[in-house]
Amino acid sequence: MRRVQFVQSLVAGLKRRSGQLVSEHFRLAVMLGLLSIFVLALTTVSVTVYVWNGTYKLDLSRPGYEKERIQVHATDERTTYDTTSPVTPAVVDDFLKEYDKRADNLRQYGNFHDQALDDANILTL
Amino acid sequence: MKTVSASLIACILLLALLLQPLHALAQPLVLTPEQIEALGSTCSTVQVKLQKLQRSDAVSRINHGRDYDQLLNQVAAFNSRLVYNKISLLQFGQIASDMQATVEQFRSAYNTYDASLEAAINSRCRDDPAEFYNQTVKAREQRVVVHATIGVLEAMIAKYRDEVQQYRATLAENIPAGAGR
Repeated sequence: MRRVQFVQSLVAGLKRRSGQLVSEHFRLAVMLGLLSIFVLALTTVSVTVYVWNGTYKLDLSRPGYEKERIQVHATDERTTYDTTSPVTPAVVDDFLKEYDKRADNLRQYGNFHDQALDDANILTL
Repeated sequence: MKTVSASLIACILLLALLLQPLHALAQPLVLTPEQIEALGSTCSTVQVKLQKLQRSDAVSRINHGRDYDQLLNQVAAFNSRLVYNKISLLQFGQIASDMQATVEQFRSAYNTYDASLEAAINSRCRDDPAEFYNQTVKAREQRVVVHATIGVLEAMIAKYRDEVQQYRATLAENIPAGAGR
């Protein structure tokens, strides 16, 4: 209750203050301007984080990456697992079946062990 | 005890593989003047090849990352189910935790490798072919680290499977297969 009163008094104070600072005629324009600055700041922060942490390098939805996009292995919908039912041999078998499928997939993706950066490929063409 | 020693071996193996490139870096990279000149004239073509490599590696990194995540989710859920059923198998949790840490190492190793490759691609190779060569050597060494981390993860995945298989055998003695999915 006290918190609601505090927020109400804060809003009322801001209204009064903004009324003193900006005439009613320009209030909408000022509000839109402030909103644009806020959105621009948020976008700048998002893009900075996107670039800074290297996410953009793994973002194949960018233009020019159509060929690579096709090669990304399509995954199933995020699976939810039962974590409370009893553990039986059949449950373990199901687990191993899915586990082996993923392990097989991982073996197919290559392991960065080709000779792409060897001197033979860099120094001679 | 068995789990602790397995974790220790994995850590030592990874450390050895991580230190290997540092050792290699200590050795000066020597190119003959003829090789430098030849590299200067062909490096633009090499940079195009490196760009293609970077793109195909990104696909491989994304595919690996996704399946590692899904595998870790599956393992975490299975471990939770064991805990919920009051089945105490500490090695399961230990391997899962090691796998999680190694997946983080894989991501980090890939980022370092990719940054080196990017530096080689963006370097002004015609002006400074030797520097371009050094960058490619650095990328090559870091690629070895990525490969090694994948190897460690493969071993952990196999180890977890073996443990589950062993548990399955003990479970089958008490409950017949096919009962209660």
